[in-house]
Amino acid sequence: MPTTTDAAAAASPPQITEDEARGAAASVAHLRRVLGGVLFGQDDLIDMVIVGLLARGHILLEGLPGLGKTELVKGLARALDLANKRVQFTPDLLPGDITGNPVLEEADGRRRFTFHQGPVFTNILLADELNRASPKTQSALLEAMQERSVTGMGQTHPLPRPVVGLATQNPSELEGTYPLPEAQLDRFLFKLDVPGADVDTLERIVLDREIGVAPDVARVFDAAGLEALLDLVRRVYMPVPVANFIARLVAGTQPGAATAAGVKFGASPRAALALAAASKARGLAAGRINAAYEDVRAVAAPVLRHRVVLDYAARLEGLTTDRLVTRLLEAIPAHDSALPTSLAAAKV
Amino acid sequence: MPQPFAPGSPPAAGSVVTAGPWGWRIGLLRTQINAGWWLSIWLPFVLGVGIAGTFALVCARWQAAGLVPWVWTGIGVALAATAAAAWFIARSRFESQASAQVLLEDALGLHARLSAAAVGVGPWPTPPADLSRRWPVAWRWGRPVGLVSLVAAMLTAAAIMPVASARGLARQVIEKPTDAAVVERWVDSLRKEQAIDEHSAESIEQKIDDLLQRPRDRWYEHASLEAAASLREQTAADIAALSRTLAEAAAAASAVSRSMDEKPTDLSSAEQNAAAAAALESALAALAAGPMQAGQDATTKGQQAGRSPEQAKALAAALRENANRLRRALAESEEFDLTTLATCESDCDGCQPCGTCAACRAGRPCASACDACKAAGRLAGKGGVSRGPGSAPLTFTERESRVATRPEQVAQQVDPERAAAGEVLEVIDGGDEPEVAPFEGPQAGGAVADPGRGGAAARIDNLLPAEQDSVRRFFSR
Repeated sequence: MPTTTDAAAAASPPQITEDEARGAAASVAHLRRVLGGVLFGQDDLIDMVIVGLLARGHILLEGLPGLGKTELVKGLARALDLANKRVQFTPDLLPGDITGNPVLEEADGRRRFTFHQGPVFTNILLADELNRASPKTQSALLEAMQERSVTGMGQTHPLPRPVVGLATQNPSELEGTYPLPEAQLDRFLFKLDVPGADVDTLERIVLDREIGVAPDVARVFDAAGLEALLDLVRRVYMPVPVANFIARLVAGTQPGAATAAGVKFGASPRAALALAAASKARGLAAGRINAAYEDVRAVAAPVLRHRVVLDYAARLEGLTTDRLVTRLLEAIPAHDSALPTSLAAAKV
Repeated sequence: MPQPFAPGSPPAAGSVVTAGPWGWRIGLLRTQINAGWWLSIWLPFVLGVGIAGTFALVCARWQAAGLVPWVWTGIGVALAATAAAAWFIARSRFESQASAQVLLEDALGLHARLSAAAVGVGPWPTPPADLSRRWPVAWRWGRPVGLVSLVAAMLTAAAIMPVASARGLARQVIEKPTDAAVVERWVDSLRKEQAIDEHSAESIEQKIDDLLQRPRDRWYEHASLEAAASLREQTAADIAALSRTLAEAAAAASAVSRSMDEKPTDLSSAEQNAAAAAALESALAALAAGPMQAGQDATTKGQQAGRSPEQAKALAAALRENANRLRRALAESEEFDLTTLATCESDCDGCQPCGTCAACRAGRPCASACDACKAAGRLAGKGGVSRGPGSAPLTFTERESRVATRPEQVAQQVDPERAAAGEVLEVIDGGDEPEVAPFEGPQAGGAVADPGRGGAAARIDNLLPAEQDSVRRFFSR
């Protein structure tokens, strides 16, 4: 039987140990339980938020008001012992209101401009109703979060680490809003839909919550712990076949591909990177040392749904990006070669 | 860094190496998939070879049984060759070890652990207990087994089903009806001896062809046999009539020759000469009007006008020679009754009775007649050309009928002996219309004497003589 060759040993990929993976998974599970006590009945949403956090990505939450988006962010900040700020975006909000402004100050008889940091200088920023701000303000926020720094008056001011932006937008009341352009949407790792609560969840909320009283949130780990976790994520191994699967999925969204009927613009290479990062984060959250096909399938919809633009005819026919992703996953298997008709893929 | 992964291609050296406890399982899956590809391409070839082999087997058993082992060998060689060709074609679709590994780890839910372990990341996963149940592929046996069974059944059927050999079929060639074949032989012999003219021979052959135009399987039906028998009888009668006419014309030509050699001494001699010349003309006319014409030589000499004694003698010789050719042509035929031919073989005077010798007075053949004429008993004065009503034109008459609503028009040949073979003796404008109401027959005291049905007599009369005898014997018991 062949064995790992010397060349393979010499080019050994970055990896983590099984113990490290198990420890990370335990921490994530703890965090999941804590957040589950903050936001009832939204386990999938919590999972995806944690995965997005571990993948160092920004998350766009779309849902109606009052579903617990702000509570989730606050709970996350408290659990991780991180600073968090919330900005309510309005049409008259200026970029400087987000990133900070130079202010003329007088000290010791001398006047000078001092950069006053805006709310973006935090670990976790909740940008509420992002689509109500002007494109200029939106762009300033997203650029700062993408670059993880703010430049003012010729000086670059790095944002604290880690920094995670969670933006919300209301799918209703779209009058007077500025829908985020595709280029801005692409900067978000995930776009998550926040579903409404069912009866059991509502009952639990009524029993355990009170208006104006924040729930108790236990601290899971601090910023340093989170940084260590993020470092582990980067070392999670990405197998070549999984990378190939990601590449074929993203290529399958490009107009002209057989699986991309009704697509006007496909996903960008940044989407492939996002899929890889999210898959690795999900793999680590599950206690694995490598990303897997299942991880890619699990994060495909949140990663791709806001990066693929459908054409007018497809939208008229009722096609949504979520359905497109589902179709994509059915059409593109991990195993990229056909099987003979005499040998049915009975269980694949 | 891992090398780019190319599905369907072997892993890059040093990047992906399948090993460990999963190696043979991945190999098994790969072999299974590759065999499936090979089968899916080979099976249509198998069907084609099966069809061709079935056809070849049947043909071999039909044409030459000795070829059957060779056909089996050919089928085996063709199957082997197509199997190799299918492998060659399917090779481009064969699964690589790395691709099979991906299929296996995805189907078993191993979270890409095989791919990771293959490059040294993490240990090899433990095979799940329900590995066989979760095996990623399964055979669809229906199609290959069904197709191979079909081909096997076809070949088996071709090998064991009864097939008549071509030789056996050749022995079953349907011969022409005997009477038609006999008439053909007669015509061939007559043509070879130049005893009849070509037109007469072709006319008879045309009748034979008409007879044989019917499908072979109907040659031996009652009507066909009866028609062939009728043709044979008619041809034999025509030959006999030609022979008699030739003999009569030869005798008349001899008489004319002799009379021209002798100087007329009195008025009666001159009358006799004229009568002889008239008899010759009459005989020649009968020869020309007959259903079968004499050979070219006799016909040519007979058409010469104003004969000299030498010409008359030559004519007599030609006519006699034509008669002899008739006899020679048919001498070998067992089916022809030679006694029906005129037998005068010499330029005898006695073929014309002198009327003065004792034999003539006693009503026996003239003493001066040749032996052949005496033996045949066909001498002048007993049915010569000067006897009978003369020519027998076809006449049309109206005939009243009890059945038909209008008179039937009938063409009658009053001299059947001069009717040509196949010539219409009687044409009736009407069909076979059996009586709907049977004839009850004479009744006496309320008793029916003859309860026969209409048309019964006609059907009985249509039976062959042998069949009629059988019917009579049956009802006489």
